[in-house]
Amino acid sequence: MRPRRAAQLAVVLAAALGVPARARWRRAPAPPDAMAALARAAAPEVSSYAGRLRVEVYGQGVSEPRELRVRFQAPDRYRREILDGDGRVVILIVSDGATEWIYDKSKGKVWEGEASGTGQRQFGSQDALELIRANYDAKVANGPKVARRKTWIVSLRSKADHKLKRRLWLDRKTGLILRSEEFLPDGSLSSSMAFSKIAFNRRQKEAAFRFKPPRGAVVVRRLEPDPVSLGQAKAASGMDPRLPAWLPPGYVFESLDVLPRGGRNIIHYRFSDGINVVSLFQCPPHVRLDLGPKAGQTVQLGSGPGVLEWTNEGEVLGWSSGADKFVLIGPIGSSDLERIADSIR
Amino acid sequence: MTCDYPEIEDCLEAYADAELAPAERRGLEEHARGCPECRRRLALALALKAAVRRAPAPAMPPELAASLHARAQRLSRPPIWRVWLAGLRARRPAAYGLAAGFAAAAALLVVRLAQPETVTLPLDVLLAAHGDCVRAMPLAPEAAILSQLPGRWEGPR
Repeated sequence: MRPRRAAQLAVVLAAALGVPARARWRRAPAPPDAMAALARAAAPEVSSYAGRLRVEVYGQGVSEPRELRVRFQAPDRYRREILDGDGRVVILIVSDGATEWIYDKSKGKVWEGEASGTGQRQFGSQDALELIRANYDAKVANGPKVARRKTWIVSLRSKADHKLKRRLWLDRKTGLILRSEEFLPDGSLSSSMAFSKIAFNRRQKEAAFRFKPPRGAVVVRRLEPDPVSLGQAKAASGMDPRLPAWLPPGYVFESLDVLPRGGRNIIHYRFSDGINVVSLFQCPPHVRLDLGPKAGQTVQLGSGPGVLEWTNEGEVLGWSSGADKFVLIGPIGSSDLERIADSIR
Repeated sequence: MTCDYPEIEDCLEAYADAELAPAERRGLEEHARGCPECRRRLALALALKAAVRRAPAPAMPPELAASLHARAQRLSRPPIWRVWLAGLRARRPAAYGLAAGFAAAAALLVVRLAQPETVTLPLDVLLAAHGDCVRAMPLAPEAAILSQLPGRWEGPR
């Protein structure tokens, strides 16, 4: 049947059934402004939700999926249960807004620390959105349903190399990210996430966001880096802070802190383009870097040889310059990492 | 009869040993010309001195001579360890090198022990710190949760 004939038949049937005229023709709503949609995604209008999602990390052609059960209660309480193949909880992450606990059942160990995100950044949502606006072309379109929810798809393409970096499926009512895909510099998929079930605005039990270490579990306090100024970092670490003279287009210095380790203080610099983060670690003498059992690739930098490795968090470059040792981590290409390294004097 | 010449006893002995200063010697001789007692004691001191010079030297006991000779020999010889090293160097250069190497290693160990201990920094610790920043971004993907997996957290400071 031709589309025009089918449409005519639908009108006749609707009229016969008494369906109001206005409802006969439902046009898809116009997508919102891209930046407005992203602003909602950064601060979704939810009081609570519970659901199940699947996370996949792609590494060298191999996908590593994980199922999670999640609960959220505004403003900042959450519970994430990472499940094994049989649906049993293997790792539990709970936050009451002030304290976060990570419990690994297989190890019988609990890591306790500040709630994730508190005091970790100097960028507010507005700063990040301004950077996104400056560095990315954002487009919005009607999206398919995710977990039975209607969505907008927001695509973020880098202005520097015009490559797709992020794709987000946003819940139309709340703005919550229901599905996301992250892409590597070469265009391949880095990781993805998608809710399979979600229910909004159901009051969560308070007990879900409280945690008491099980009997016999070892509890350790997580390292809490202190946000500092350059002068404070120098005083704490004994090193002259050495910042890179070059960064990939769109990246700016975000903040730094001092990471204590075995009596030494390591400076951690963070750079961001609004979406991604590149970390630079400057380590003092008498610190030996252990880049893991995998043999990395040796690269030649201006200061000498470096070691390049791939991790789920992106590429890692480690090298020595003078008495200091450096490590760069970020979802940018190895050539950019090497160029950053060579620009550090 | 007593003489009131000051410190006459010391002066008489010193005169006999030719240890008086010229002015003191002339003063004593002038006094002795006018003092029979001092003249007599002065002559006695000189005679005693001459008699000691003429007497034969006593013979050194043989044991003492041998002991002194042996001690002199020891003092003129180099330390045994130096003799051993020189011999080693001449006869076994490799062994000498090994000994020198051991000594150097021992010295290096002492130096190293005096230095601060080297701390090992696993990559996982840095990845955890990096992951914290990623999760704090406004549009952080849920996949960033996986970087929270334990094994990447250190204990107390």
